[in-house]
Amino acid sequence: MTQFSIKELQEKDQGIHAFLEFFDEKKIDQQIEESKKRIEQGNPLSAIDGKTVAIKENFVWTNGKTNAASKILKDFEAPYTATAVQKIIDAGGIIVGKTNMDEFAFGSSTENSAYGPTKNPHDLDRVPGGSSGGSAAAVASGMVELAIGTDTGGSIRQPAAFCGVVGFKPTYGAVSRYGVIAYGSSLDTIGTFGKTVKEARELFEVMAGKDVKDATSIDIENSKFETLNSKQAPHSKLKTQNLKIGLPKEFFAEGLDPRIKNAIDGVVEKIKSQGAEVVEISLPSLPYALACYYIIAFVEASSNLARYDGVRYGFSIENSKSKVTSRLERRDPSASLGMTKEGVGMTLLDIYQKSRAMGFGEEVKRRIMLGTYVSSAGYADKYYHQAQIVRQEIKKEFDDAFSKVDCIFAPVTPTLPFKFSENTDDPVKMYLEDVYTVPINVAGIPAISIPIETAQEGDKKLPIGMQILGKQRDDYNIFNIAQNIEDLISKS
Amino acid sequence: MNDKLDIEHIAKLSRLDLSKEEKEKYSKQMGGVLEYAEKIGDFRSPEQSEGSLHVGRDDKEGISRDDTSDVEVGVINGVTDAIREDEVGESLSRQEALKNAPAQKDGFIQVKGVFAEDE
Repeated sequence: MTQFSIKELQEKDQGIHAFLEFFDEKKIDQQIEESKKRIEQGNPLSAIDGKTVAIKENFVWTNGKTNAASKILKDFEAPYTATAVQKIIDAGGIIVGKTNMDEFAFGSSTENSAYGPTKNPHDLDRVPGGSSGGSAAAVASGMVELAIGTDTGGSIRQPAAFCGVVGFKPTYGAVSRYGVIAYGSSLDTIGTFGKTVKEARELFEVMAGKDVKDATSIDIENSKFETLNSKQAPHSKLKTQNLKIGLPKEFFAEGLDPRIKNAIDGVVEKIKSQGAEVVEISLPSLPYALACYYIIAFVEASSNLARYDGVRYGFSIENSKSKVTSRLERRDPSASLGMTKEGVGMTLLDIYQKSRAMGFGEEVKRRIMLGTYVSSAGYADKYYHQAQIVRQEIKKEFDDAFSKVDCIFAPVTPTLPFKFSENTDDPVKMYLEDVYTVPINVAGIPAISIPIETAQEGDKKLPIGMQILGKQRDDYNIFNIAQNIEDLISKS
Repeated sequence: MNDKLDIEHIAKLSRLDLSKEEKEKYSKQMGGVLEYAEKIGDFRSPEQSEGSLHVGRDDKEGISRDDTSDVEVGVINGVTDAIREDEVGESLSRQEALKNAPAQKDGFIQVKGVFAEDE
C-alpha cells in the first residue's frame, strides 16, 4: 500500500474537481494503519479492505455533510449513515471523500452541480458524464481505487463510459437505498465504479444484500467467478460456445456515432471467433422508453423533492431575514402579504415558494414542474398512467428476450464525451444522451459498462464503453461475462 | 401541444416562486420536453389494442375516468407488501431529528401558521 496523502489528492483534484468534500486525514491514516495490520495478519475484513473509496455526494453519512450538489442542502449534516456506506466502512474500505454530481442526480454531465462542474480526466474540455461524474473521474484519474454512485437513468454507466472505467448498475433493489437522497424511487439503483471488472464486483459484493430499512431491497444469489472455459464448470452456460448474445436492432439504428458502433462490432467479432452465438433481437417498445422514463422519473422526483420546504432542514428563506424583520414578525407571525420589507410577514406558502426557488437550480426546478404537470389532474392519465403501461411492456419484452439469449450487448451512449455547454441549451438534446441507458432502469435489470476502445479526437483519446445487460438477479453472471470480455480485449 | 402550459398553476403546485422572465423561460423549455413526451400517447399495449385495458381520458374538468386503477404501478422486482411487525425499533432521537431545523422551539420544529389569512 502506497503512502496516502490528502494533500496530494487535493492537488490532483485541482484540475478535475471530482471531489466536493474530503474526509479527515488523520482518520484516514488511522484506518489505513488498522487495515495494514489486518492484512499482514492475514485477516482482511473483505476484498476491499484498505482500498480507497469515493462516495457520491447523495449518500448521507454522519462523518461530514451531505448536499446532493445542491444549495438547498448546503450545510446539511445527516443524522444517520447510508447502509451502503456503512457496509463499506465495516468492510475496511477507506472512504476519502464525497464526489461531485448533477444536483439531486438530475443530469448527464455533472454540469448541473451547484458547486461547479467536474472535468473529464481524458480531456479537460469535456464532461465526465453524469450524474455520477465525480465518482467516475475520481477512479479514472487514479485518485481513488473504487467509487460508488447511483444510476436512475444511466448515471453510473454513462459517466463510466465517458471516463473509460467500469461502471456497474445492479438489479433494482440489490443494494439498499436507505440513506440515498431519493430522485426516482422506483428507478434509483446504487452501483460501483472500478478500473477493472473485478474491482467493481468486489465493491458490489460488499454492499449487496437485503436491508430491512429499504422495503424494495432483495438478496441476489452470489455465484463463484467462472472463466468462460472453466474446467470446474464444463457445462456452464458461460462457456463461450454456449453463450448466446442478443443485439437489439433498435439500439443500433440511427443516432449512434459510427465509431461507437464499430467498436462494439469489433467486440462482437472477437467473441464470435471464440464460439459464441450472436443474434439480432427486437424490443419494439424501446423507442418509447425515453419518454416513459422521463415521465415516471419526473413525477417521482417532484414528489421526492417536496420535502425540501425551508421548514424541516436545509436552506430556508426564514434564515436570510434581517434582524428588524425578525422582530416585526415575532409580533405577528401570521401577518399576510403586502408588507414592505423583504422577509416580513411571510406566509407559510412564501417560505415554501421562496426557499425552494432560491435553493434549487434550474434543471431541478424544471423537472419538479414537469413532474407536477404530468401527474396533475387532467394530465395524469395521458402521461403518467400511460407511461406505466409502457413500462410493463418494456419489462415484458426484456423478459422474453432473456428467455432466448443469455445477455444483451448494447451501446452506452449515442455520442463520445461531449464538450461543456454543448447540450445545456436544449433539455431534450441532453435527455437524448440517455437513450440507451434508461430502458435498463425502466426494466430494473442489471447492466455493466466496460471500456472497449478509444477514439482519437485531435490529440486526445476519448473512451468508448459498451453495455452488457442481463435479466433481473443475474448480476453475477453479468460480471462473469464482463470479466471474460475484459480479458479478451486486453489479450488483443 | 394543444394547451398553453399554465405555468402559474404549475409553479404554484410545485411551490416555486418564479419571476416573470423565469416563467416565460421555463414555459418554453417545458413545452419542448412535453412535445417529446407526447409520443407516449402513440403506444398501445396488447391489452389496450384488444380493448381490455382502457386508460381513462382526463376530461375538461380534470377528473380522471375509470380503469386507470388497473394500471400496474411500482412493482419492479417482484417485491410487494414489505410490511414489518408493529414493534418499536431504533429511531432518531428528538435532538438528532431537530439538528438541521431552520427554526425550532421547545423541541419542536417551528413553522408559520398554516391557516393564514390569504393563501
